[in-house]
Amino acid sequence: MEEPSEFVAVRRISTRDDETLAAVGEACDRVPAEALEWLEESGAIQAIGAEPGVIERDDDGGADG
Amino acid sequence: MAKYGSNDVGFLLIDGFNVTGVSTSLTDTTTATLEETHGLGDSWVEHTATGLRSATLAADGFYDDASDSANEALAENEATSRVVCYGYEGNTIHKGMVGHSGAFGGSYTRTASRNELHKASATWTVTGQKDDAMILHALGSESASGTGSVANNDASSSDGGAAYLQVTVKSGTTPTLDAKVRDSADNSTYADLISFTQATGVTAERKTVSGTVNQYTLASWTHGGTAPEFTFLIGFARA
Repeated sequence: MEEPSEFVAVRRISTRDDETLAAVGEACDRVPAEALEWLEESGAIQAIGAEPGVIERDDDGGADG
Repeated sequence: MAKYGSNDVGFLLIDGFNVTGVSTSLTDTTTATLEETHGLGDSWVEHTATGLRSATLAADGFYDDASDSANEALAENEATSRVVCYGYEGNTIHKGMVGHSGAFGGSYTRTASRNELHKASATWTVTGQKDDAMILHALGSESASGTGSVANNDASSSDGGAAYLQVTVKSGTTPTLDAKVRDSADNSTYADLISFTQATGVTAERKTVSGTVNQYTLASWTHGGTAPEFTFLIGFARA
């Protein structure tokens, strides 16, 4: 039985082979415990109840042919 | 250290148009803006960098009216912002590439000369940034979803980065391509770093991210539709 996580995903969390461990907004129940610290420091997850962080993403250009 | 030659130019892509085979030269110039700062009494001219840089890109080649080639990519697009990528160390994963976005084709010249094939040349003035990037998916075809091999930067970086996607060929019935760059600190658990807009045809895109980029990065792609196949390039530059 997995422990309920104290963290929620801000970015999608996955294995190296791209299997989803936590979608955006989901609890990180399946995320390995040893990864939680660096994921939180990176802003990829946050503690449940914490103020949402700001992640800047800009689309600087694109074209459809 | 290694030297490279013209056969090492792995690709030259303009908004998904692959003009590598009809190009004969490529010149990429970055210039720092300087201001003269000498004054009365100085014996020598002095310059100080203003902190601004600019980039231009120029390519020469053959005129080619194929629907996916140089003329289609360049003609009547002089005032259109383009995403331009080229590989100077071959078309190999983890090798270097350069990306430009906001590249305006300031000129496009077609030349006809006696006893010669028609030529075409273009010069782009870049409004925005030029990125020295690493190839995370070499330009090539994929018919199934997958993940590329891991790039190890030896350490994380803190100033974000920019990712490039160029899709040059697609086939299948209503095919879709969702491409992304992911990062990791332990090469086991990954987080989505940059997700590109879903591609359904020939296209190009540059997207940026701020903040921490962890030590390991890789590209992943997910296909949708019936019998989908895409030829694409993914690159990533740490800022």
